[in-house]
Amino acid sequence: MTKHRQCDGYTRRDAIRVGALGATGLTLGGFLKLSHAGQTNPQTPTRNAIFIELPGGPSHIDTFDLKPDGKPEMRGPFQPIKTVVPGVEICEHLPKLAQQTTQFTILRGVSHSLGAHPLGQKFLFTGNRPTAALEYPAYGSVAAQQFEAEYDLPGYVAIPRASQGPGYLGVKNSALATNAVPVKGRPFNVRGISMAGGLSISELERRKNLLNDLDQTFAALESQHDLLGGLDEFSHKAFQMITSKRTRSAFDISREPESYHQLFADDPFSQSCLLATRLIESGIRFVTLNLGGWDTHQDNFTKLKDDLLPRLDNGLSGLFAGLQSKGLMESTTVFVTGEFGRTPKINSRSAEGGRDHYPRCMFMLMGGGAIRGGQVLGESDQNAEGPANEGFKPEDVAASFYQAIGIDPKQEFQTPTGRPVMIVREGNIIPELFK
Amino acid sequence: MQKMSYQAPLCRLLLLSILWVSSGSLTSLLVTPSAVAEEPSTRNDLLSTRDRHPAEATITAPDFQKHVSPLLGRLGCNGRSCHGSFQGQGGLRLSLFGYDFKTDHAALLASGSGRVDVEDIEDSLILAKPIDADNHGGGKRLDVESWEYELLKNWIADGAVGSSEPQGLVRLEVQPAEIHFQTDGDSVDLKVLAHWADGSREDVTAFTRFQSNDPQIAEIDANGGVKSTGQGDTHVVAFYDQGVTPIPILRAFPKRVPQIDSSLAIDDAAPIDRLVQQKLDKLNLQRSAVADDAMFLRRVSLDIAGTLPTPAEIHAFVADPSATKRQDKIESLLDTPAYAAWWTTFLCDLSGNNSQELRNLSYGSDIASQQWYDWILKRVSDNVPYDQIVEGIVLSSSRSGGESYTEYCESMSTMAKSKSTISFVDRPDMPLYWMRRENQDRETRAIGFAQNFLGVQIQCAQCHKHPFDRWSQSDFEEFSRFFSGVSVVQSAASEQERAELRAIYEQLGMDPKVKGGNLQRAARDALQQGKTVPFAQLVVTRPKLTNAERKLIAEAAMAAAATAQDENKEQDAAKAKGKKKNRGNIRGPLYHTEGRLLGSEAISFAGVSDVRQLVSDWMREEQNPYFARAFVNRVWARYFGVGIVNPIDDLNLANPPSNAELLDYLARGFVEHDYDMKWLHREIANSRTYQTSWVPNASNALDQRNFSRAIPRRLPAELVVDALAFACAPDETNSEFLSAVQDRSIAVPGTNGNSARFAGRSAGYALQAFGRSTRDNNCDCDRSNETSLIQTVYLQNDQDVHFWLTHPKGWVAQKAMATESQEEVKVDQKRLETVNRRLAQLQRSAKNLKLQESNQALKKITSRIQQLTSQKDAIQQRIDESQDSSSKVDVTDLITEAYLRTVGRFPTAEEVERCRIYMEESSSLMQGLTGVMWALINTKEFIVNH
Repeated sequence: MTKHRQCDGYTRRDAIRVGALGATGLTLGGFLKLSHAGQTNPQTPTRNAIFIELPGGPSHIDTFDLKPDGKPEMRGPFQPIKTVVPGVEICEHLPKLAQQTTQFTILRGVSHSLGAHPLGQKFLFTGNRPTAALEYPAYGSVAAQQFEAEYDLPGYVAIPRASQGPGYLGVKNSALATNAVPVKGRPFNVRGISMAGGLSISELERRKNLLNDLDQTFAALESQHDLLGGLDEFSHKAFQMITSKRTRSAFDISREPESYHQLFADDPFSQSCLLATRLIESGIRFVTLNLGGWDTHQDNFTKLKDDLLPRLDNGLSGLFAGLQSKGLMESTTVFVTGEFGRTPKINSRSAEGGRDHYPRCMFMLMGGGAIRGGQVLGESDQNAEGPANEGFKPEDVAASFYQAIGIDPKQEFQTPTGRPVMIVREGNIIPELFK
Repeated sequence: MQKMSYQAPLCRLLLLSILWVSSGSLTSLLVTPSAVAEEPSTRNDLLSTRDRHPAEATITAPDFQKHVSPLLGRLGCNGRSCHGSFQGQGGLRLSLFGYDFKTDHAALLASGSGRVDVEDIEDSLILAKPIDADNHGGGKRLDVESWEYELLKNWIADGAVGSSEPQGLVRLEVQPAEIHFQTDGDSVDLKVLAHWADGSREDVTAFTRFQSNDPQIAEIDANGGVKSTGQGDTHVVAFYDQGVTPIPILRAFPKRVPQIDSSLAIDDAAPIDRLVQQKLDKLNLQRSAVADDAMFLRRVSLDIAGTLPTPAEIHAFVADPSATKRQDKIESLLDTPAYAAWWTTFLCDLSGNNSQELRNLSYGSDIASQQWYDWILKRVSDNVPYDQIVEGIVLSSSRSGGESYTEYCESMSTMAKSKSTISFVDRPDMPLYWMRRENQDRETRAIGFAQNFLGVQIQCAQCHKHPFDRWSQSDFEEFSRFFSGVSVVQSAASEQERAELRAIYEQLGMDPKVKGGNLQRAARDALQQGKTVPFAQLVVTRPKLTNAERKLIAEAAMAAAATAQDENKEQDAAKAKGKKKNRGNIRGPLYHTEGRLLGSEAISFAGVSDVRQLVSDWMREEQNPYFARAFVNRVWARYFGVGIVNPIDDLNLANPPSNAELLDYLARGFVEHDYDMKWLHREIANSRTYQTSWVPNASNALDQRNFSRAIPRRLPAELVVDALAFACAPDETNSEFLSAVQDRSIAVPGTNGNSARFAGRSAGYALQAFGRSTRDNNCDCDRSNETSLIQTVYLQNDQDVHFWLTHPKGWVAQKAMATESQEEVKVDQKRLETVNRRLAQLQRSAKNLKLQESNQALKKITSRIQQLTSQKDAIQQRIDESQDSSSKVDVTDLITEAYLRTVGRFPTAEEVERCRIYMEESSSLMQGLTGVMWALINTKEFIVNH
């Protein structure tokens, strides 16, 4: 068959075959050929990642970039507190994280210009400024395409789902979305993995035996036909995954000892963080989490103080503590970001005041793996209205994140339309981030 | 004079080629290896290029365009992984594949770079680097003794001159023009001749880049040596300068005794079949047998109407003795609402109906996607010709017929409130195509338009010369001009309209300065209250120059003036500088005055109020090479899984059709039948070629591109969801699948799949998992028919599938319940027998008692008889009712129906037996039947169309 030639003469199929493939996204030709050649286990150091989206746009000036000496109409009522790292101060409503600042870097003065939620999220959650002609893949989808997954595990899981899809990398690199968040003390059901509809493993095995006997119509064609052969291969792998003790155990947070549970609070985000550590421990390479509600146009301070900051504080501090106790801190990079910061000037939409979208200045957190902890990089100006010096671009942080998890950010991919495109188009790695 | 000395050594070759060309008719160009053996340059003395072309070594004045630049390409210097990469390599960046002679020359001669050193020739980095594996990131590329090294050296020695004006390449001729191989290892050396605009001709084989479109059929080496590697057909392609020439390569399969093919009521002389047969004959391929009725019915129902046939339909169709039943079935499917819905979805994929990009136009609702879908649906239902549908999209604007801005806003507001699209559907045009958020600059529009309606991937030419077609950056730029005269204005577009807008705001009591999210919210609320709010509109003007272009023109004019007046140069430069700062005030023209359509001459824009009209007229010219071809190829691919050109949206010179005559026939016929889409569907679906079985025969198992058999293909996402719903739905629901399409996945208007529902369950997740078109990339590959792990996990264990299989009103539960009531009937029948026996006894006793005149006892018995009689009637009635409500059910029937509902065929005896054993081992009929259905929807036979 004629194959699709692209700008550089590769075919679409060649492009698909390039690189190791994620479990949820193994493509056919690649998987069959690799597995038949016995090459599905390259010896690469394990590098995992947890990406945490904070959609809505968390206020930087009220969290990790306080300006106690700033103008009164800007700085807000929150006070800074000392952290375990001398000289580094964060908001008083993040007391647990203040004990964990040795684990991560605070990036300040990150700056861009896209002040609408969808565009900002596309930018910050893919590392590429959105363009008209191309959908960029979520970080996890790139990882799914690049990392090798275990035979009975998905490679990339999103709890409950990722805001950005696989873009030009195609459906095969989508996240396995849990579509729900775990609740403490209750069994956690994951779409496609948990047994639903009263089905038991033994009944599923009985059905699979029946299926194996009935599914013979194309048996003679399977070896020559990519699609049929692939359906067969994926059907077996799906069954392995669904019936795998390891996979079910990975999602079953009730198996953690009580002492471990105590590291986490009893709210959905903390429980998701707990699950994320468990998934990474089980061999899943990339997990995306999500804590929303940051769009505080009104009642900014009450919402932060009573709800958002405690949840962030509990979840993230639990996550770092959990990774440490499992010995995963060295192999797992954690990256936390919203799509923008919020206006330093307090608006008057409600009695208490709120803050509006503000891409010119924002914060991010990154820690674990190859990332140095216990430092602040970058700086915002006097009133946190913009970066003090040059500041960082989101692309710089994106390039650094990929670098940290062992993916060359300058690597060029092929889009399905044949355009060569770098994983991160314009990023410069921030050397100070690394150990 | 130097030029002469360089051409002289080629005279021998030229003379030979002239003799060769003039000596023969076309057939003499169809060279077989044996024929080649008689040529002077045979593969027997095939040597490396440097030995084959000793002539090049003596070139004393190589030309940058003709030799140096292509040579760098051949050596791989300007490939994408080397210096052709976006960021260059080791500080040197060359244009990809070296088509930008000016820039490349400048890059090589950049002062201080040391790449070209005319004084110390051999120290020039372009010579020193490629011969030294240690110092060159790209490794060793050249030998000092090679002719390539010599050529580069000569070029530098000669002053390293660039190409002032690129020369025009008229034709790139490749000899032979077609190759027929016999066995593995057969080979032919290609010769490539460049015909230049000045009339000269030159053998450029040594400077040509080659490619095989399928190395499993033929391999080609860097020197143009083609080697047969397998049976089948493909093309090898020669690239040199702007020239792209494909050469067909054929190698027939072994001849076999023809099979006896009992074709059904199909006209084997139909043009499609004849044209396919011609190609099959060349390759000794035999068609597979005709698909049996059940196979045909399932396939054609899915392809035309996106719907599985019901068990009743399969029974009736198989039993129907009519000779025209297939033709009749095709006609009746083309008349169904399901056909219109499914092919409207196809046209929405093609034109890019993306909900996210339309959301802001309708204040967050999905109404714009619905309008787009419904506008097309109406036309597909009415079978409006394809060219007219496209014209309605291309030549659209928001307001027509003297409608005022206020009237426009009123009508849009009413539609948004009522969620009705009726008045939109009646519009002559559909402006939303141009109004999508991410489709606003003319380059994006040009790329999208070329892919959508012409099947041409032109985007490469946005940044560099298209490597597989003739399009240059200026072709792209001039084409894109046609899309610069249409713009989306957020509200009012003129002074008059601004006054109207103020009135609208006043009526709303809204601040006109409110923007962004606040405006969206306020407008949404006002719409809910039935008020009129401002709407964005599509406005058509003359094709505008961008500010950047105007600045360039102004600066060029300034520079020209500066050159003319040499003594005033500095002053003028200062003026130009001043102009630069004054951004808003660029002098010079405002509009483009001409443009070129793909492959056309320059077209003047003078006196044309809407230049899109020129595009529309050009597309509908009978000779247009793309418009009809792109469409028929796409439709063909829906019926066969592969296009005649493949990938289906990539009509380019280097990607020729597998059967050019077939594509020509369909495109011509489509135009001659006034772009009648149903003509095309009929023509394809009625062909013997379409109705071929997927079961391969001895000759055609390896054929993937000549349509000698049907190739199983995964169902598109919408059909997966609908087929699952269909398989599990009760009889009364799935008999309406063809007509009641509203909640089906094939009727989802935009890209938000959650609007499709079955039994109240959203289909969004499954549609995404199975790769419904995302409509965001200008690529037919936005729809994925690949398979992935998530899909098989879904089919085996998703809550959707369990929900559907075990739905209390679903088919499985219905049958299980009916069977349970059958059990009750059996119990009732036993009861009835007992009652009847007892009654008979009592009546005998009563008779005796009557004779004995024992009144007391008789009275007692009579009342007992009455009691039992009414009991008997009640039981009888219950039995009658049960037997009315459910026909007789037995397990074989259930298994057969499960097969018909899923894979559309009758099960074999072994399959029935296997299922029966499974059901017997199950704890209940419900469990057994659910398991059988589960297994069937997890077969490959279910998830593919075959």
